Amino acid sequence: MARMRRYRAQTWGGGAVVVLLVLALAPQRATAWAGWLRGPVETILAPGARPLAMLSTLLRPGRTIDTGRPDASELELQRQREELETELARANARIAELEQLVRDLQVGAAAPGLGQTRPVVAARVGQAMGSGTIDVRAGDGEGVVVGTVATARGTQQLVGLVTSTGPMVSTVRLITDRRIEPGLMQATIGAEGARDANAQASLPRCQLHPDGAGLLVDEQVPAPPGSESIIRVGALVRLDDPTWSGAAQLLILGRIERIEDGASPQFRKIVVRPIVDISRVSGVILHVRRNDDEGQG
Amino acid sequence: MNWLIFAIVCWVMFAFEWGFDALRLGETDIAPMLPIVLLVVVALRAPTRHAMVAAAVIGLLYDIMMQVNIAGGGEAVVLGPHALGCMLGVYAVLLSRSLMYRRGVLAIVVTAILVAMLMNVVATVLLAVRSTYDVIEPGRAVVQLGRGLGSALYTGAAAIVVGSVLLALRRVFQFSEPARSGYRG
Repeated sequence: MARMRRYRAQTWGGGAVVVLLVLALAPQRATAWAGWLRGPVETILAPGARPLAMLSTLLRPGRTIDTGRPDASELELQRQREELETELARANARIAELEQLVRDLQVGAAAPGLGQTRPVVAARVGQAMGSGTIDVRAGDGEGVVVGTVATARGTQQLVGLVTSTGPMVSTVRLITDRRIEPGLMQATIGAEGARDANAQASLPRCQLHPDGAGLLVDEQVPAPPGSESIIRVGALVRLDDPTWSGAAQLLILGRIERIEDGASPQFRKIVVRPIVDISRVSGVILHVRRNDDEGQG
Repeated sequence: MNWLIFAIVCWVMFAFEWGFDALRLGETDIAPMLPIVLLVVVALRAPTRHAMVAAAVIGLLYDIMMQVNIAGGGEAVVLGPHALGCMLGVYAVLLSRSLMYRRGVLAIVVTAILVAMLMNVVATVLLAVRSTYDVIEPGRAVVQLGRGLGSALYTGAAAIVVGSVLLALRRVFQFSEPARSGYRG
């Protein structure tokens, strides 16, 4: 009887190993259904992980490059200034866009859809174990979809893009991860000084890519004579790239941390660090596309 | 073994691993794998069948939580690599546990490092093999192995504390003694 039981257990064990081996090696198109399992597991784990993530942020807050300013009111003013500058830059871009739209309509072009977003606050529940992503507590139910833009709470810092969603939890790939798509980010440097659309358009531009160590890099930034006053350490860098979602435009990518000599005297290498530690934010704002009926309401 | 207690402790360990990233080593991805400590406590004290089932459960949970990148964006859940790694690790513990002094925390530390290393090596190899013909992009195998081995050593260090706590809770788990060991400490 005992031998029979052991034989049955060995058969089950062997069968389980074979099934797992097949699942591990079968191509993605045959095992895509496995992604469905993540939603329920995250839903079960999230209530436990969330307080621990909060405690973790409390014990080990993320590094910010705006250190040395302990005054809370000054930090708040800084935050408001960044927010208003983003609004101004966006308004300038919008004016330019609408002027172009008027010209297009005058020659008979079809009117494009005017996308709007609404903010959804989502607390970080943890860092995805595969790294390069964070998990936040907002899912399909809140209208989060793949490609939704995430910014850090309390700043205009772009954190990343949602790459997968579940019922309660979404995964955000960080802008500093090499695997983010689109991998190149066109940006403007020194946007703090821009006060109108023309000034915004004349700012020096760069094309950043993640270096895999939490920074963004462009090895060949054109640096004509006289640009030193704008391309300087500490200058703010904002995303200005049509290949990225509209909700991500003119958000902050970071500040220039280092400037090095480029391949030729006309070029510089710049290294940009996000203004907050985006892998350790306590929460994010997800910019969810607003439905047409929501906009009217 | 009381599976309800196992499920609760397993939930706590995974929630810790997922949420409490203050334990990460500096700016690296090296972090202790706390569910592995639970697994080795089970593997050292529970009957063989229970230990293997626990290995499959914890391994599958790792597979589900550790998404793999797909070429062109997005992530995929790949079931199997960590589960097989955990099962191999636990099998190694089951073969050698009769030679160990299982009442001390040292056995937990050593076996936690062993199981974590085996799990990472098996998972890295299987994912690397699959990436040769599939759309998944698990990253460079050398980097993954380095991170995995670092995490395995860190798991051993964490096992000193976590293992001691779990040892103290062994009565709650209601382990039915496995076959009598050759070494009685």
